[in-house]
Amino acid sequence: MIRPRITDFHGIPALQRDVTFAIPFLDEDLPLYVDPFLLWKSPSQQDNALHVAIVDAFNALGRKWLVGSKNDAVDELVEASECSEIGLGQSKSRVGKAIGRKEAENILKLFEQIPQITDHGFKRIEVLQLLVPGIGKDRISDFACSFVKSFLIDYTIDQCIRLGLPREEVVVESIWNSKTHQFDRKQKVQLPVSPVTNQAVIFTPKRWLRFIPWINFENYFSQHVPQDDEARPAEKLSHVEVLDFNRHHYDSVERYVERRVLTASDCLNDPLFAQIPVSSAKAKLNELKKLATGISDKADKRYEELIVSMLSSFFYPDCDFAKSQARTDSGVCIRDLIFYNNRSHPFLRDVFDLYESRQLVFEMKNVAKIEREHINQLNRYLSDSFGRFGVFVTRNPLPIPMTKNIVDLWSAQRKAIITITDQDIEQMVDVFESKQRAPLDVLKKKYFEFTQKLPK
Amino acid sequence: MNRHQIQTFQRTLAQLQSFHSEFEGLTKKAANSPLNAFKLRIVNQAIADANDVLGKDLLPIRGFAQFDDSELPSNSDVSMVLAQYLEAMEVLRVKNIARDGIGRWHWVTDDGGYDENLQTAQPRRN
Repeated sequence: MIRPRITDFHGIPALQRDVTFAIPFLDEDLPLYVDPFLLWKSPSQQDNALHVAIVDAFNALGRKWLVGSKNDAVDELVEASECSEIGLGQSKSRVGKAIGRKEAENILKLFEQIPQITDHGFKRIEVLQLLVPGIGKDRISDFACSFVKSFLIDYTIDQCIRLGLPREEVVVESIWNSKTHQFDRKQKVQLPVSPVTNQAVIFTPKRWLRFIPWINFENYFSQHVPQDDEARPAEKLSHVEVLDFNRHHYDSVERYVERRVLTASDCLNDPLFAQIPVSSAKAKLNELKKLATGISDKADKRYEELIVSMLSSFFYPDCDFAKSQARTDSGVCIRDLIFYNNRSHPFLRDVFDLYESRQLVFEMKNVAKIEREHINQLNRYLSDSFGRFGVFVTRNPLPIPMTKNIVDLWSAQRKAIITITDQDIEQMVDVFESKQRAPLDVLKKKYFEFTQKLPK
Repeated sequence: MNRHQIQTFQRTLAQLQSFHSEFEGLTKKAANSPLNAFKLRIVNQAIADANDVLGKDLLPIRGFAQFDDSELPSNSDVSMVLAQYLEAMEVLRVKNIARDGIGRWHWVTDDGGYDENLQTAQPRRN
């Protein structure tokens, strides 16, 4: 499969829209982060309590540091700094790196350096981004997940039972124990397991996820750090300088946090996929209509970009978009669009039942005329998870001999290849705007037209 | 036609006329826009009623009985088909009406008579 997700791997047709957690990919991380601010802001008392648990766990390590158990505190903080079972962040391999002991010490030293923190501890762990170099949104997310891992394991088990996802007994390296204020190591639990890494997979609720935490350094630096100071007009502030200043003037961080809290109503979780607006779809269609065929002026690249952005939006939420990818066949670069077949629509169920397609492949061709070799390329690709169903996205209807070719292909191998042209894209934009139909119905219509051509 | 058939005819015709004028308007706005599933279902129901009224011999379009949802019929498709059905209904009406001695048009019932309650408009064309 292309960019397999754990549900698709086990043949469970779950739509991202319908489940409350972010469906993890098996071989790469989701580029989103748990924002503790969302837990604090949530109307759910459970989420609020989990936020308290995160901050409390962190402060417990600070107390350890202050009473002299420095090594223990560093060990536990290093352990908390990576939570690879969660699969969030930028890693291409689902394996992240923990922070070094030096970095952990720098964090824990804050409990000595800043009097407010020595006295009262942290109120939010996101402020670490404003105080310690090398601590970014990914670390904040990992700290948060590590300290509520026990809850997330229960949540994952619950979701697996609901969906019928298989679980296995696996060893989870560390689970935070809020009674002893340390990690329990090597705990055996029943969790889903990634067939790629053989590691436990833990789900996170979608409502906790953002691309950037609400309290973050970029926002602080660009909007809350005075950079037009007349005393130092030519000097540009560096990241480290700002963090250094903050450690010595913690009240400025507190004021920033207060201001962010005042605008908390604007802080929402980020959707995993956002459709393009209708106006954008229409603008893209107009551009598509004017676009030349072929590769001159990089028209092929632009064609692919337009189609990817339109089709991924049009088929949402019936089909979750997996990836647009480039592959090579006989020395020719081919661009595909891949969707997961979630069997959420009767037509998609038919495609799964008749052609065994667990993923749908759309091959984009910015050519005036589809030729035999193009059909052969797609035909060769129709195997494994794609089953025997493929779609050409091209500019014009197939010439009659090519139509005969795909009908013959169906007769011989029961493979269905259908074609979407500019005209169909226009109709999809039309229904996308009018909302009278799902754009997927246009694909279904094309399949129906294809079946009308088949020998009776 | 008996009285019951005449009443069914009148009801079906009124429905077809109303749908036709509705879809004519929609066609002017968005000719190629497909119908949603609900509209298609009720249009198909009206066409099924018209098929029953017209009988096999008077069906206006050979091989057509209903719209298929898979074909995503558009507003202009529906408008065109309804226009054909209205013509066929008129043909059936003209076959079953007659003028009395003072120039009024009446439905002719199976028993060969007509009464005051079964007046109708004159044929749109002869």
